[in-house]
Amino acid sequence: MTPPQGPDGRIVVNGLTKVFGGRVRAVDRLSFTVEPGSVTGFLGPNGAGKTTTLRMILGLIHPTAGSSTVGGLPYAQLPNPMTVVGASLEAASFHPARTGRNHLRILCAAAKLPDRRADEVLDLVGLRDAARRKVRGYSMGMRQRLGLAATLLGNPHFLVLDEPANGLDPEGIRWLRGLFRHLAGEGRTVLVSSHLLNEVEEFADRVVILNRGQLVRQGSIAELTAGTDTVVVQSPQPEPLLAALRGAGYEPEQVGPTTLRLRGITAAEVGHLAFTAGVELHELRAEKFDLEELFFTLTQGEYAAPQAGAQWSP
Amino acid sequence: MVALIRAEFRKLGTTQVWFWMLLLCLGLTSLGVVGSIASQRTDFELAQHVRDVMISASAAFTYVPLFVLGVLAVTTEYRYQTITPTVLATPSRWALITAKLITYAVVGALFAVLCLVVQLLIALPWLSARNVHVSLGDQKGPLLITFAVLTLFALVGLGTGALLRNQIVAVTVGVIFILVLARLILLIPGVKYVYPYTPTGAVDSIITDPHDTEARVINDVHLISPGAGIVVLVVWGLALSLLGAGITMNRDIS
Repeated sequence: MTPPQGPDGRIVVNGLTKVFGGRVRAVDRLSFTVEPGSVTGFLGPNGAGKTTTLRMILGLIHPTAGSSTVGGLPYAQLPNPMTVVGASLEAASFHPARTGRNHLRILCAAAKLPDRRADEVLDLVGLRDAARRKVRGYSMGMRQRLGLAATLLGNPHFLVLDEPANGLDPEGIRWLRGLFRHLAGEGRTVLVSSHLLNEVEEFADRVVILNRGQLVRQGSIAELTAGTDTVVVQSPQPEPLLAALRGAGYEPEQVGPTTLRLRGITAAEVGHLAFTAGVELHELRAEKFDLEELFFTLTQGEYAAPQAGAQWSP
Repeated sequence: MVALIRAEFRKLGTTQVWFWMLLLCLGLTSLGVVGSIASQRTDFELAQHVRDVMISASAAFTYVPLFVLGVLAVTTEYRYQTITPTVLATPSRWALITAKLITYAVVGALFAVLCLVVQLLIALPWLSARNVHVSLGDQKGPLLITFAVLTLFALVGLGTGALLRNQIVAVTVGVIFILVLARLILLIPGVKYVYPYTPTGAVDSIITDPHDTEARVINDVHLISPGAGIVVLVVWGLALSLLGAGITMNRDIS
């Protein structure tokens, strides 16, 4: 593995801004850091500016303002960048008449890597049998795997991947999760964009949430969801239950005539208090405040699906 | 740079475009030779036109497929978005265009040599059969200018592709300009004098017999010397490539 470039092997984005055609502000003063040894999920709805940001980090799009560095250097100044950064972008960037193996061998030549690396990474992503087939015959999932193979060619410290799970079957997604964990476990810096929130929760340690080109929140998933787990309890006798909970120092939120929601307490503790107070319970459950909910909260629910039947309302 | 040139050769060698373009070049060369020999009815007339036979490969529009091959060198990257991994591996557009220029100069030269070989394989036995004896030593000039025209047109194509990026636009505009529009310039008073400095005019300047003073004047426009014609093609190839690398290829890849 290539040693981390610069002092700490981080990707640093500082005030990145991109205005297309003088009017469309795709990315707006965006700053965040991607830490080594972790998988960072780069989240945002379609059109949030994720791909534009990644392309600016990779030197494919010139920022209107701001800068980004990979291991302390702008991408364009990295010596033999494929051995430092492995990048796979959303678009399928393959010549359809070329075999998967030849696509990689071209990159090997450009990056001064031995040709055997092409076969090694094809094995790694499970494309050995399709290596000599033309890319036009590849499924979407196979193209994703080929893109991932290209990112791994130079055994880079940094990985920047745009929607890598698109088109993968469940087995492929599971394999991808394992790969990310493995790469982060080796101390590499992995940045993965996605709009599939549940997927990201499965493999990411940290998230950067983007909305309308602006940073909404960044941090570890544990940090972002800390203290957000709740307990929901329903009882036909809400008054004595309320009194018991207040007596124990909790301030429940009344979410229905007979339903309360509490923070900072476990379901077992609520059950114990109800039992000692002699209160009958009809429902007691812990609600995990997951990434998806956090995301919709942070984006004020503007990307949430309409409620069932809403589109039929007069 | 050696690594980048190797990558460019692999890009070309791993699709079939080069094969079909070579076939087209060799086919046009063959047609050109057959036409130039068959059009001379008597052996005496043929002996007077040996030079025409020796420049068949360049006079028969063989440079057009080479131009297209050069265009495709850049535009295919944009069409199939392979420009993204290419630029990720080589962020410097200058290094990239330099590698392509060197690669396609070599490819153009190889194509030119093969065209000349086919030209001679057809011409020499046929000329001999018609009692026209040719010494290759005497024909070095026509053979070299044919070689130069074919090689340089690959670079003119490369530059056109780099500047326009869009494959259909670059091929269509380029071929129409070379075959039609450039010659229409000759009909426009005042402007017609730039004709020898167009790629088409440069080819005419290079391949037209330097001793045929009548043929070297087209519609009152004097062609430039063959050496100057070669310089014009070099300038077109380099200028378009550098403009492409500095302007259009340097634009956002999104």
